Amino acid sequence: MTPEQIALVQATLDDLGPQVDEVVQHFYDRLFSADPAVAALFSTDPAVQRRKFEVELRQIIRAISGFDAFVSRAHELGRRHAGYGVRARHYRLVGDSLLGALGDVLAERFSPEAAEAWRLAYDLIAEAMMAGAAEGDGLRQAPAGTRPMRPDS
Amino acid sequence: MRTVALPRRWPLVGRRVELQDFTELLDDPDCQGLLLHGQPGVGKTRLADECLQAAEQGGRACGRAAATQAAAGVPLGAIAHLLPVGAGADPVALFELTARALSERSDGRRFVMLVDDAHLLDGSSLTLIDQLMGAGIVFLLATVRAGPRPPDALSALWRSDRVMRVDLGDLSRDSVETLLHLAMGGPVDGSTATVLWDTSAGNVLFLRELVLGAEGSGSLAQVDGVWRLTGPLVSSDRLSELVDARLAAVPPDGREALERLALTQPVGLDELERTTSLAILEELEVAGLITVTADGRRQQVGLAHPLHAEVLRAKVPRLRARQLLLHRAGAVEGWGARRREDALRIATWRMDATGTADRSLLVAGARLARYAQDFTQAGRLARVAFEAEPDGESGLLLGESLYELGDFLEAEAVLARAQQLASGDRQVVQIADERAKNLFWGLLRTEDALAVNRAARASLQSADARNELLAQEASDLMFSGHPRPALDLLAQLENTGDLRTRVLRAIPEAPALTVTGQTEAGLAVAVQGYEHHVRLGDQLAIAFAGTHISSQAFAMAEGGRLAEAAQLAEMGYQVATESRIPLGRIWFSLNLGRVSLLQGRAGTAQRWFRECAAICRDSGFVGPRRLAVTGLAVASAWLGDAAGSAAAVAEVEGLAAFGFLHHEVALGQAWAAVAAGDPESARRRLRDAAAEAVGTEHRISAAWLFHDVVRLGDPSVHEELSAIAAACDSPLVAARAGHAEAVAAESPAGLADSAARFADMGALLLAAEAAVAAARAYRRAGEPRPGAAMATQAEEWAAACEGAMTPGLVEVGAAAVPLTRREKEVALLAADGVTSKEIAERLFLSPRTVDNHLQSVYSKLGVTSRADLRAALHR
Repeated sequence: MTPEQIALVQATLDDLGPQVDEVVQHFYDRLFSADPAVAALFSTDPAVQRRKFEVELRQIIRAISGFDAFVSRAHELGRRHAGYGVRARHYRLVGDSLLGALGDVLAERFSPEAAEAWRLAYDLIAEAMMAGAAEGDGLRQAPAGTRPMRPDS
Repeated sequence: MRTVALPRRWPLVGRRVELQDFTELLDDPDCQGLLLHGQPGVGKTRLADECLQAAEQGGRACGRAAATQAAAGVPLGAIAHLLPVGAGADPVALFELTARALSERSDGRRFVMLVDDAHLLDGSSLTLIDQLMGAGIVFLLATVRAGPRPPDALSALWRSDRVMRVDLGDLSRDSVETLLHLAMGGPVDGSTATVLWDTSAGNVLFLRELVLGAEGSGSLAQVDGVWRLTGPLVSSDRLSELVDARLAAVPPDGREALERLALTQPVGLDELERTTSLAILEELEVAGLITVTADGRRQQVGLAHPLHAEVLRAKVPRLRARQLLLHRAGAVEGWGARRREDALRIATWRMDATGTADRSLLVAGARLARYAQDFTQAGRLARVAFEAEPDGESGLLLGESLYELGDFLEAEAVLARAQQLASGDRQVVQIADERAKNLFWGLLRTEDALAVNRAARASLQSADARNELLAQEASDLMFSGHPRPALDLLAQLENTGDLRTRVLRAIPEAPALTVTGQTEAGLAVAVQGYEHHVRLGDQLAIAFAGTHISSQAFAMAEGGRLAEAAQLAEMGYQVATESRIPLGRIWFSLNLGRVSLLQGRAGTAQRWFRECAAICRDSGFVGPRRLAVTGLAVASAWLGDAAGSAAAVAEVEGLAAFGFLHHEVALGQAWAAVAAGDPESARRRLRDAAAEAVGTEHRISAAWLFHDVVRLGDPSVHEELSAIAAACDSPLVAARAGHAEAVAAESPAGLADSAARFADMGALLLAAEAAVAAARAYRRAGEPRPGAAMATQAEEWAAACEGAMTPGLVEVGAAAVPLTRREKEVALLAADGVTSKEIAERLFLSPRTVDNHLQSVYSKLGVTSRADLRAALHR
């Protein structure tokens, strides 16, 4: 990502303000309709889950500008998600759903430049998370869907 | 600038799904193996190694073998080290022994065997592995190089449904950017990422070699936290070896087609078929070495990889290259060279073949390259023509290319010579124009630029020609800090309706109107200038059309239309970056830094000013760098980085003088002084510079400078500001003046009104500061309710300022506390750890008075120590 793109994704979040909540709602709707099986990975109360996702999204987007802290945060996040049964192929699904949700809420405010910046931001986060998951063996050892889910995310 | 050693092992990017598929296949008894198939350099072996590591971590027994051309002649040579000692040549006994040994090692689960380059495996090895797979003893993980046809040795496995095949391609552009970011440990500048992507085309092996090579040669470095290329990418010996290895298997007639393409691509399929059979071309396409694309009704063939072209070109023997180039030039000429770009291509080929070409062809080619903004190629062609026989036209083309590429000294030599050879008004004017521009912007020699211009003007016949040079002189005046004389000069221009003259006059006129305070007129001139420029089309010796867009953004910002200005400048910045026009990038990033300062977005401003300063340094256009570094000093001071601010001010003092907006250099000096705890000298510096700016009618600069005096606690300049506002149409300047008056009058309503006006324009730092003052004034007037409302507003606006912490904001959070100006200054210094004695010296007070002020501050804030004071003031 260029520094301009990093600033742009952070600006989008600032712009959204409380509307991030709507983005998260659209995100889960899209994700579960794209792959209903994914819903089984979540055992938490949906409202709590949404709130956690929102907080994590803000945190990780803020973190991108400081590389080392970003990488360790993303690695940790990836390790945890591998433990919940999240697999590498889910990442694309999640990315598409997130980009789609941002488009739903921002409409014409979601410029092509902002969309590109978000795509790259997501790719960066996802790759760093998956690298962390691999370090922690999560991606390697957990066969899909066979592990018990922990209740938080 | 800082260079950081890059990690030798790069992160795995874009291959995680494949890696996970592998671990799942391992548990699938119906699957006996995984083939990773793809072109060299896509990362097959890397992925296979990651897979093997994952299997090992999963507790499986693993072995690794590499098949090679050399080992292929020895039966079982490649895998011998994985076989039990004492295994004989009898196939049945060998199988049984090996099966037993491997089963024991792997504890009853399948043994994972990685075979790298399995297409080179010998038949005996393959048979044995196949049997072991069938018996459930071995899981094969193999890398297979993509070739024209499926490898013979593997044909059985290839078609079998017992084995999964994964085709790996080059990385996508997104993945390349992510890989660079993760591998290099930080953001990569946009144009650097584009160059690396263009050159590597997503091939990880090439990408890595390019990055390591550029890092080693120092042309890739981390500047202010961002990786950027400061020099050209060069292909290293190692890269050249890699490409050679890749092309080694191509048969001779295929190689000839590749060479032909490397020298003159793209080539029409019909034309290429005359020298190369369709079967060979098909093989090359399947092997991923060439691509065929539709271009209208024609099929065009090109090399698939830019680095292949470069290495091939370097390796074709001279005489052969000459023959291929001339053959192609003859062929295109034979068809009448109908396309617009044909002249450029033929000129380039003939020149590459023979070192020269027909003069008219060279000049026509140089022109075409120049209109495509390819100044390197334009310069090459023009140089051959100019050196063979110098004349005005070739000299102008060469000089202009040298100027655009930042080679100002040689440009001056060439243009000075060309000027002596110029004939006709049009050419005389264009060369004088270009030479003056190079002297002014490149060499920063204003007087010489004006002298060249005036001398040339004396010899001219036509009004249009004189007008053009008058417009050029006005530009030199404007950008050397004399907007009024520039406007006076433009007023003398005869109106002949000539389009070129109108475009050229808009370049100085728009910013001259803006700086003197006529922002609406400035905007209108810039809008029209752009329209005329687009209608004018391709021309020599003229700036790029985006100049007018930059003028528009400047006028909008000074007219208080900050969001629009930022949007326009960002668009311009993108266009200039994509078109690789350094001066365009400089002006737009400078505009963006300025707008961000006005918006109060200190961090964003810092980023754009850094960008601008870096491009100035890399491209050689150093003039605007003073303004960028000055902006950096201001933004850093707002962010509380006193050392950074002081360093920026020191850097500015070492830079060459440059007239455009030069009074504003005082802004950096003043804010650095504030950050260092010396507001008194900051105000003095600002007042002096403002008075000078008034004298030269730099009204928008003067308004900014005077207003910062007010922001630093001294509203006594409000009359000066009002006088400036009366001569300007800008709502921003008017709001500054209104704010000064409200501060002077201590009018709560006036301050609240100022805050609202600033906020409407998007100037949120100014709005927040005014709101803080309004809150205090309301409380003092015994109206706590509107006071509290203003304090809340102030908090909200200040929150958008990215951490800016100016004296005017100090009471955000502690807004209930009415400190006097003196108390505030003393408090800030004390909070920064300055001793009472030093504070007394800086503020020209007695130590006793300082202590009195401090006591008063302590009791108002309810604190007892300097540490608490820091916290209370958010320092």
